[in-house]
Amino acid sequence: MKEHIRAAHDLLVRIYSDRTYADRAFDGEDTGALAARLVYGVLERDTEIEYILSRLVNKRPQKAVWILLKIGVYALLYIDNVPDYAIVSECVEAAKSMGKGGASGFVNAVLQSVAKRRYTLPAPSQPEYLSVHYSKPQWFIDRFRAEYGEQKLLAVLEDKGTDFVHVRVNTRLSTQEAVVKLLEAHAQEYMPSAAGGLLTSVTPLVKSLFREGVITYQSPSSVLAVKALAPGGRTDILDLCSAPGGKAVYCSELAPAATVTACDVHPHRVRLIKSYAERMHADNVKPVLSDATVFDERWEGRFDFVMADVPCSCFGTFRKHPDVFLQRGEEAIAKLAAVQRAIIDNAVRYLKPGGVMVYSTCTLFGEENEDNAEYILKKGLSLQKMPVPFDNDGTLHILPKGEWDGFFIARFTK
Amino acid sequence: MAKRIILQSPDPILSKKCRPVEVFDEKLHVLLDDMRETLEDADGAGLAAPQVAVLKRVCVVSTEEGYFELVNPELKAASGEQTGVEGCLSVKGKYGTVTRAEKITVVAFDRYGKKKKYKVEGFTARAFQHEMDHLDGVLYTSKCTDLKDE
Repeated sequence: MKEHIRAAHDLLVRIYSDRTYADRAFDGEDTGALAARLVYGVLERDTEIEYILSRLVNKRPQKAVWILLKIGVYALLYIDNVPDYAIVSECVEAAKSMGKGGASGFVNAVLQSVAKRRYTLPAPSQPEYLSVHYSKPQWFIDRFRAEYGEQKLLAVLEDKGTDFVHVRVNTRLSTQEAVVKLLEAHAQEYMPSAAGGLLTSVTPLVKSLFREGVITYQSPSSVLAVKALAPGGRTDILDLCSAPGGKAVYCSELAPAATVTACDVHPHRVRLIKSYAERMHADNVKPVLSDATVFDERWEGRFDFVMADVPCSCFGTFRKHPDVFLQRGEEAIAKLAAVQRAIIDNAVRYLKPGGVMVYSTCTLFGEENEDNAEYILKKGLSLQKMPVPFDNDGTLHILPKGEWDGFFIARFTK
Repeated sequence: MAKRIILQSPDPILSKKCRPVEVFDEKLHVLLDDMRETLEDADGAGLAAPQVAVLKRVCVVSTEEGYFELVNPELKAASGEQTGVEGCLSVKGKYGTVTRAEKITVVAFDRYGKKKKYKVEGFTARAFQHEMDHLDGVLYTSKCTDLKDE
């Protein structure tokens, strides 16, 4: 187990200290299942683990030891098939093997206290109960409650999500019926999704179909945003913040005669769009290096469809990305809302009169969502009902439940 | 090795043009091994990658003259004419008459990326042409005039 603790520790140090995104920290690393479970477990239960450790430790040790303690606490509380004494001694050995032998007595003492439950968790009547019990930052609980009320807060916190992945069939190469037939021939479990895709598991067949571009992994919210735009015809489509390219490529399928200009501000992200489009045989997607916050006069009034899936605080994806609360706090919301408005300013100018624009985020709070929709209306655009399988008057808010990330979509015409 | 499932017409994948193989790696070898197993299990004369849902220019042919693995095959020369009955593992329960070249020269890579030249005739030439058609999304049913039930 010591090696797994060490491997998890290496990754967590990168995530906590260098602010590397968890999924990127894993990129290219051949991590064992236990190490991966420790990393995601610590990230998911970070608030609770911090609470417990703060009851037992007066002075925070250096970061490397603190992270090792977090792994130990997670393992003691949530890993059932290893006895507590073994977890404690493996963590002590791990401390020694990473040159922190001086702290081994401390690690031993703290983890022994955790194993013996020498702390009390907040009772349901206490204000910090939900934050610790569901391991989410207190500000998140408070803000969510203020915007949505207690009932929706509890529903979201209680929801277990899904173990399935969401895939969409590439209509250039196949049809949903044909892919379903293939899944059935392989006796593979699947379920049609409300967004029009399929929920299934990652198997060698699914991986192979993905490699061939017959299917692609795309979240239901991302699929829905493109359906809300509903591009078609021999038109010009602009996707302003496009990488990795899922929405742009789906646009190009719905409108094969159109040209989809797919922008991103980072060269390596533009390359992601390029390879995504190549894999999916999407020849009408043109990846372009461009900063959506900087006005480009060549594009003024040129586009029939504009997708503004803006950079956002991403709090709606906390189940897929449990580290989102470590990457940014509440203060990010106002900062990102300002960036979003700069992008909106340009998006509106790029749109032809009569053109359609979709504004979308994968976050939960009004400042980045409804407030910005208001901002777009003030620019003279009007809301338009979206052709999606949910009741709407031009805006749609989905909370993180089941296969859905939390997100916001709004459709406008100029 | 694993037997793969053979797509049945009218699966849309069967009508797509395939892409050339660029990397001659372990994945290609697994694909070729799987295709051989699938072909032998189905007791066919040939199998193309799109029939197992892989859009790569790869096909295998098995006749009395031997077992052939063709990667990125190209028809270099064709002569003569032969008319005969064909079937296809992706069009179960049917057969039909197709006219094809009698003698052909094909250049293709082997699984290690080595270029090879094949001069074949008769039934083997027919199988080569049938499988290479698959790589351009063409089924024999579009070339025969008398498609019949078995």
